[in-house]
Amino acid sequence: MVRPLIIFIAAAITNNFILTYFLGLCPFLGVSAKVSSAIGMGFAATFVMTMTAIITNVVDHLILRPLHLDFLQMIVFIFVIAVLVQFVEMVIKKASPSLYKALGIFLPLITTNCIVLGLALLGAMRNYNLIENTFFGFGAGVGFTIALLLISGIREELEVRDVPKALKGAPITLLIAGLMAFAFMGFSGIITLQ
Amino acid sequence: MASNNRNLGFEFFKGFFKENPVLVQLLGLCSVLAVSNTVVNSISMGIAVLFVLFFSSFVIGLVKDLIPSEVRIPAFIVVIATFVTIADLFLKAKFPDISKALGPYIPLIVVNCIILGRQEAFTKKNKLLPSIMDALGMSAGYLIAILLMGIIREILGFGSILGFRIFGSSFKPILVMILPPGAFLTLAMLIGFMNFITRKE
Amino acid sequence: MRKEYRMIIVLTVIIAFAGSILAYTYVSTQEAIQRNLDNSKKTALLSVVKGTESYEEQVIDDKTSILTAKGSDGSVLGYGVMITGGGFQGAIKLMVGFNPSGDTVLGIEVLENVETPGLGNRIVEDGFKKQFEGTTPPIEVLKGQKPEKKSQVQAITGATISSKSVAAIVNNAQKVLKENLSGETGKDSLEVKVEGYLQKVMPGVRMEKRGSLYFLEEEGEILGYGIIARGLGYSDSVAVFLCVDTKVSRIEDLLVLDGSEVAVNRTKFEEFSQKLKGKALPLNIKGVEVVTGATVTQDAIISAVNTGFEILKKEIKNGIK
Repeated sequence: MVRPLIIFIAAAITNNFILTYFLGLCPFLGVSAKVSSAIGMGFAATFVMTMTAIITNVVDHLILRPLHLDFLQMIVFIFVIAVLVQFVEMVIKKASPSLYKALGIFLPLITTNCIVLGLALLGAMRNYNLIENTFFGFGAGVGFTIALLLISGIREELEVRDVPKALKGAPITLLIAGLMAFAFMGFSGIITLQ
Repeated sequence: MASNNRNLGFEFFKGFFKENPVLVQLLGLCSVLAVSNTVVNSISMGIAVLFVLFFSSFVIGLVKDLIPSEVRIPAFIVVIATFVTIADLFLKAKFPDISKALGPYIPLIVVNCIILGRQEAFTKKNKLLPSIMDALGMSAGYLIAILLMGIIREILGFGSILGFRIFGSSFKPILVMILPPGAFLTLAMLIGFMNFITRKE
Repeated sequence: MRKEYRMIIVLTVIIAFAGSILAYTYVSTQEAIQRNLDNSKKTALLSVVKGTESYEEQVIDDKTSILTAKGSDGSVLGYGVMITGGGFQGAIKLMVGFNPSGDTVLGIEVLENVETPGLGNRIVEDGFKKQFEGTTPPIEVLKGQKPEKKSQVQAITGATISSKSVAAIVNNAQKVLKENLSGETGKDSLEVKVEGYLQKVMPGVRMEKRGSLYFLEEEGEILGYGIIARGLGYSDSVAVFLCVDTKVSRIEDLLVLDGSEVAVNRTKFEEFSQKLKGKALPLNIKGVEVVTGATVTQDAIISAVNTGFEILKKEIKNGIK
């Protein structure tokens, strides 16, 4: 049970997807201006990523590998993700309109987001089993949410600060992300990934 | 004819500076940040993107009228994913070292917003030839941006270019430039610089 | 309804096309990709066990396999252990070369790692890898001070964890190798070598081990004594088997057993040890002909002989019959 936990912490903190793999930068720049939308996006992404991790792992181990169709991995994963997001959207819409209202607009954004496909591909590359991959996906989602929350908090503050004109918007966000990546480097080494 | 040529030229060159996909449109940032720690990696990534964007635009430009608009996104993604997989397998077979260095970022070209973005924003609505010029120009713009990143980061982070040391032994490399924070800082400064220039004009 | 059909047909056609193109590309690149994998394995093995002509691979599990490196004459030159372990940022995959007895590391090669560029990533640099040549695991990693023993290496500044990870993987590699080797021999491999050699050159002679001494007897009569001794060489300790007469005054026979530098120049050292036969003990370094380009190793053999001689003399004086 230790290994899945280590994988979880690694994905969430030490090898944070945004700050060390640079995955999921589009929403990071786009949705991170307000804390409320960052929370919505974070939850939606965490949910989709955990589900993706489970389903792509099953598809990979039960269908693609036994049939030696590894070269179709990428296409299959993308399809799985697209279908999954669509499905999740439908279910949430039926089951909880209020949750749909909160998360709905973020879901389509996630389909074409590299963080989800990156998660599926990395998990397959590292040969994680189902439990490990589930923790990996959940950890990656939590890490994404943490980074998004932190940066949105800082950006809300920046609204009222005097940022040089040329650096307004994306450049200052990237600068902050750089400093955050610096800070997160301090976590590296607290656990060792196998 | 003459105006047509000028248009083609415009479609080609706009991606270099005015509509640079990375520095102005802020697309495809994840690979730009992730693999630009050396010049060699930057060039390899740039060429891979060029290959995928060119052939995707070409094929989609050819068959776009046959595809019902409701399923165009999945259809585009399949086409793109096919070329990305080809590029990935080719690199693994011919250039294993580069393939290893670029890691998962080659497969991730498939979700690079530049590729799908260009199909949606341009190829879908235009003729084949302008689409190809647009694809070439955009990938050139991507290559320019990632190469700039690569040059800056390799010089400061390793003290070398293409592996050749350019400073004496007294130069102490600024390690952080080849680490993730350095990537963010370099890109932030480049985009800021770009904003600065275009604002003056 | 018609529109839905069209959607499905178009998508199916596109996917079928894509699938067949990919299948074709996959099949045509697969051979090259496999060859690249084999090549990188071979190159790594060659750089850790010099002179390897061919190898046999024994897969232990999905993270470990043992490659038996053979020379042109089919003799076992050593083993390459291909093994994956945890590093600072992620997995590190190493090829660790061992001498035939599995006691000494001949060299290491880093096959895969995702350590921090510029810091942990420096484990791929020669300066770090070279330190492992000739070490005897379990290896200890020193921080900021020069190694003194054959089982110590110095950590890379600012990358202690990566350095320690590599050392731990090397130690683990030896464990795995020993576990798999012992099944075949069952005995200390040096001893096996000595027995094999004696049977070849002196058939009728019985060898009996008492303590560290070997008594060589023929029909109840003691012909002489033997001992396994070590001397410190250039990058490795060199083990010899020394046979002396009953008076412990001169060398009856000398067999160079083991050592990475001996493996490279085996014939030269065999000639050298033949020349030492019959010389009086203790050996005087000045009196012997130098092996070109291997003075230090040769000194190691001489010091091993003299060490062995000292022990023999003392043991026999103490009255072990």
